[in-house]
Amino acid sequence: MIDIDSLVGADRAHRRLYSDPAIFELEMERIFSRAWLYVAHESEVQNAGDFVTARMARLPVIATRDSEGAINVLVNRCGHRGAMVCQEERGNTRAFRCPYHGWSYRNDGTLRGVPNRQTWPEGYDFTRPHMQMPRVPRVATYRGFVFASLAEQGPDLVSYLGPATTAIDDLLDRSPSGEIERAGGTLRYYVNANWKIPTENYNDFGHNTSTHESSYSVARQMTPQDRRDPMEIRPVDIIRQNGSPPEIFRQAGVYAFENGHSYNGTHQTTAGGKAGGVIDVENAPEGSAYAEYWRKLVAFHGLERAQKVVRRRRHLSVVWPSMGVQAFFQRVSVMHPVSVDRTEVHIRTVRLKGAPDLIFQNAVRYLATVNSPGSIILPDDIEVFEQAQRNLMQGGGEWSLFPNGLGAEDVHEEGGKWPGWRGNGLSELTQRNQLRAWRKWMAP
Amino acid sequence: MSLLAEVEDLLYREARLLDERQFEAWLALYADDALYWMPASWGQQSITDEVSLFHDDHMTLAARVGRLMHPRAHAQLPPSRTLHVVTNIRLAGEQDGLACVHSACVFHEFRAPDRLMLAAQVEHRLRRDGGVLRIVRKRVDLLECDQPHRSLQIPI
Repeated sequence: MIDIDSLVGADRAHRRLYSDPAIFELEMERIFSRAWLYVAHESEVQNAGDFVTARMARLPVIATRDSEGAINVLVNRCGHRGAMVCQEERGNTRAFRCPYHGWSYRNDGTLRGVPNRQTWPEGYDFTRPHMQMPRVPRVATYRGFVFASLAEQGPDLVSYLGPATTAIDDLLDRSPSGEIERAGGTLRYYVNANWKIPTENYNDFGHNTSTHESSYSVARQMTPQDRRDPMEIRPVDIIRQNGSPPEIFRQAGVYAFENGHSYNGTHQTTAGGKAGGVIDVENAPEGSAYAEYWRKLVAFHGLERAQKVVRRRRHLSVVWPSMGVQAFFQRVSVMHPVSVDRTEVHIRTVRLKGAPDLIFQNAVRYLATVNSPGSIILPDDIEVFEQAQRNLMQGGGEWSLFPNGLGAEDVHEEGGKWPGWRGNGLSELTQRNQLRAWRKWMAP
Repeated sequence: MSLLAEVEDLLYREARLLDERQFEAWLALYADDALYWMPASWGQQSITDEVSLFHDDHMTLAARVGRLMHPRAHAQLPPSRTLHVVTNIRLAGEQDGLACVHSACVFHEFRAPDRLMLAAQVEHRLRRDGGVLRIVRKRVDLLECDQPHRSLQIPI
């Protein structure tokens, strides 16, 4: 019997949260089999027959668009002996055929046919549920983002997300056509650490100064070069932001909400030192791609709304437990727990349809700069995550602590309707908030 | 010296400099307009419209070198020990005034307690700048390009 409440304090998590395989299995059951998890974007399954494979925590799934136009999320498993029926990453098909004994399924997961039927028992019922590809019971979409839940019952998607819907709004609203599409490939990395360690790092401004010193101190000494477009991002301008003074991080702020959702403001400043992001869209130099983008955005939204859209300056929104959204550089990441001490992260870009090419190309370059396992930033994160994991597995101390800013949170209401809290950017509010959600969802 | 011998010498020198952690001398083999590319998918067509594991110009290569030599590069404590086994070197013609060279690299990295082995097809594009052959473009296609990686710190 695991006593959940004894493992979490207001400012601490017991090391068993990161090291106990039994707790990990319980998390798979109570958090990852109940919560809404991001699976795919509608643009990946645009037409009837389109499919894309994905994962819900450890479970391999396929999102499909069936001939009725509905989106299904199916477990990638044959009802016969359990082999995977689909090996491709994406494609279009009317039917999936299992490579083992050739059972085939319609793209809504129902069994279509089996070979050698003449030697099956007469009148055998092929419609029984366990012979189909298992359907993930609940599938719902928010503005094109397809989420699924393995639980038959629970809060609906929008209630579960609450203010986390604004993470997706932030992305969509930046499109001058109101539409986005999946594009640009995928970066994948793994870390030999429990999934909660990288999740706690999502809105963690407390680590930038020390973890990333080697990369930002070098980048801060580098001088600009000519660019194709005056607004083309230079990776060194991104890298140097991790060395911003504490005041910048503090002022950026962190915001936390029900169900573990959160975001932080941006610590990034323009080359001219202006707070609020790397690129000042509203004042982009004439002739640059961002000036064109701004014109299109104003044409689509009207000036007042367009200003509101680009002045929403978040660094990263966390859709707990598994998704991160960085709207300015159109990044969507998904965290997949693999085992108690291993986590895989998939990071993707989306394209703002109708925006100039450079906007997307900057997003692609940003990803290689900060999120690639080959970047000069991520390896230092991975190193500290794994060092922490090793000690949390070993003991020697019992707790992981999150005391900064405890009790100093202000009440914050998001979008005039969702209650939450705001802390200074160096506060460990979002990590404490994740623990609070963990405790709530781990209850039987 | 024949062009092939000269090219072989350059590629072996590059490997040796990386393995000896002489990163500044390694960077000096690259032209100012150099591009170092490690795609994140097999047969990747575009560097600008698809994400890459490495997308480095001369300035980001220099930042990479600076970080590797920085005393607080946490993931280099202890430093990586590497071995670049470069082989199958072949002149593959000339394009836009650049000599194209194909090679293979088997990369071993040991950083206690972990070891890593990667294999890659490599393409160099070279130009003669003031009598010296310099690397203008390098493309490294890892066999494992689209798989999850943990940490790729030392250029291949």
